[in-house]
Amino acid sequence: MIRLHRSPLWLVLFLAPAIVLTIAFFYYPMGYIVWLSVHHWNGLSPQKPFAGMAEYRHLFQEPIFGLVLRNTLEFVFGTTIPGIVLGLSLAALANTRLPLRNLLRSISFAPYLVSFVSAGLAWVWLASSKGLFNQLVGLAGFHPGNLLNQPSLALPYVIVMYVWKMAGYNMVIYLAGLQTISRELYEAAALDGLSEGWTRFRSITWPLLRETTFFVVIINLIFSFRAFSAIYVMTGGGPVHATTTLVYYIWRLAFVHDNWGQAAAASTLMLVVVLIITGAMLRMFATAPDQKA
Amino acid sequence: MMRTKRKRGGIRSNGRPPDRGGWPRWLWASLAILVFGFPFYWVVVGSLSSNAAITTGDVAWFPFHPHWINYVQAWAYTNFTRQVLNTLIMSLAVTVLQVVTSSLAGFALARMRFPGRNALFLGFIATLIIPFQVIALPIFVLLADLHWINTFYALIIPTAVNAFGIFLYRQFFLTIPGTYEEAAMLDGANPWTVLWRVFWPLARPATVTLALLTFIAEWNSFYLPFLFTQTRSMYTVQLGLAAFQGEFATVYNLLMAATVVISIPVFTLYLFGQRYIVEGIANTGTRG
Repeated sequence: MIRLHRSPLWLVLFLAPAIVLTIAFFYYPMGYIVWLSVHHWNGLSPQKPFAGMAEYRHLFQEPIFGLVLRNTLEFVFGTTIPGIVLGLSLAALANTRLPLRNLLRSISFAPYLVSFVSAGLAWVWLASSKGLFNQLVGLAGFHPGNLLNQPSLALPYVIVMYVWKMAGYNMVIYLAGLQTISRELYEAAALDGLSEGWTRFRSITWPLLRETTFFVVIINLIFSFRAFSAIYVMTGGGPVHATTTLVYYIWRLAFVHDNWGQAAAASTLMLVVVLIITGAMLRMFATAPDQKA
Repeated sequence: MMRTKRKRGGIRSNGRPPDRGGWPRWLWASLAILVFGFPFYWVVVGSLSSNAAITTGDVAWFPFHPHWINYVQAWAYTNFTRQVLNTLIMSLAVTVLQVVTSSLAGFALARMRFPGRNALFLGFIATLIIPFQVIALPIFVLLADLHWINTFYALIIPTAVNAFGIFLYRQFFLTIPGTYEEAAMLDGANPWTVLWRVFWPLARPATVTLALLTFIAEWNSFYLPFLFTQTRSMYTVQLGLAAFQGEFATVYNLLMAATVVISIPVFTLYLFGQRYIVEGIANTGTRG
């Protein structure tokens, strides 16, 4: 350990770049977005008159805002929960001696490596009216046409694509978690007459994966909340706003409608929601009973 | 961090129940491989198909008559060379800057004693919770005031520090025995020499992990360059691909060819650095 009095100048030099950049591109913008949310601004005018809560009121009065919030919640939970369940199942499969396990690991992780733009475009083609999905369901006599043109199907389809993309990432983290659980524990459980399968999973594996699950849940929520590029290339927020989520809506408010005050209010709202969710998760995982096994 | 991990690798087989599994496990694994892998195969098939096959939906399951010309056309239409250059400049610069800022801060946080150290660490880690999209608007205003919009500064500087990197280096440096810097300091070395000569070489696994993950993230990034660039000459590959879709909406064979080309660098890096990438992701999960 290097003590401060011997090297104060070095300490400043080591920390200054990280601190300055973090303040300039994180803490300052965070304060600024909250400040901007209580001011009127069109993105150009030199004046930013004080608005109080007016921009928030306008936001909630927008006819499509309710739909945007519903889409966001549907998207976030629709991607997070299946993505985590699928990730854990894949990890459990890859953690056996199954000869296919290495192939399974690489293939299911591959979607995470490509960009959301590339993955989105591939799935656009799959969904198109002459695409693979239409041909497959066409064999059964259905002809739904382009899936992304239909308000009721577009959001679920984007959600499926997102789950496909993130499941392998969750698998990698869960696999590492599974590999820290020692075999002795399972053997002891077997001696106690605990059967394999579901009971063993519930009483040993799942409790020991608590910290891993906490991390996976948080990272998935953040990833889903900030989804933009896949929606941009797949649907452009449509059809009829059916896939417009909060981030997409914020971008449109600011950069298409020049309504920066309202966009800032929506951003602040999202900031508060993310903080509340993270806080709730922290509480939940910090207070739940530990070491059940 | 990587060292403890490697040790843990020995235990690895213990966590695995010894059975090879019956047919249900085979079935699930095969199904998963098919579902996750087929889109990749299909994209490659599409990228080699003729215009006629794409428009009629009559795409052969195997490209017996590959149309390699699709790749040539896609490359020419997108002004791809320029975009690859832009993306390389952005990705490499961000990677180098993140490695520098993270290793310096990580070293100070792990090996130097000063008041407020834990609070500062938390201050960095907290930045990981807030999505960039929430604070993108003020950053845009800031960059506009600096006249940096549509320049490389806007693509590089806002992401020059990454709390994940600080975390990675800090955890790594914490595992190195304390006698290392004491011996060096007794020889009259200053903290910079200690970091550069002693700790930096030891931290190679952390550096490789951070560099690979950062480069891939930058290569794939969309929202930041999307907001902060305005002219085609500043486009990155992902922006170029999205714009290409805007113009050639249903010419899926060219779109798929462009998609394949853009994904090649990422898969190449994964092929060579698989262990670092997977362990980097796994470590944040099990030690975060």
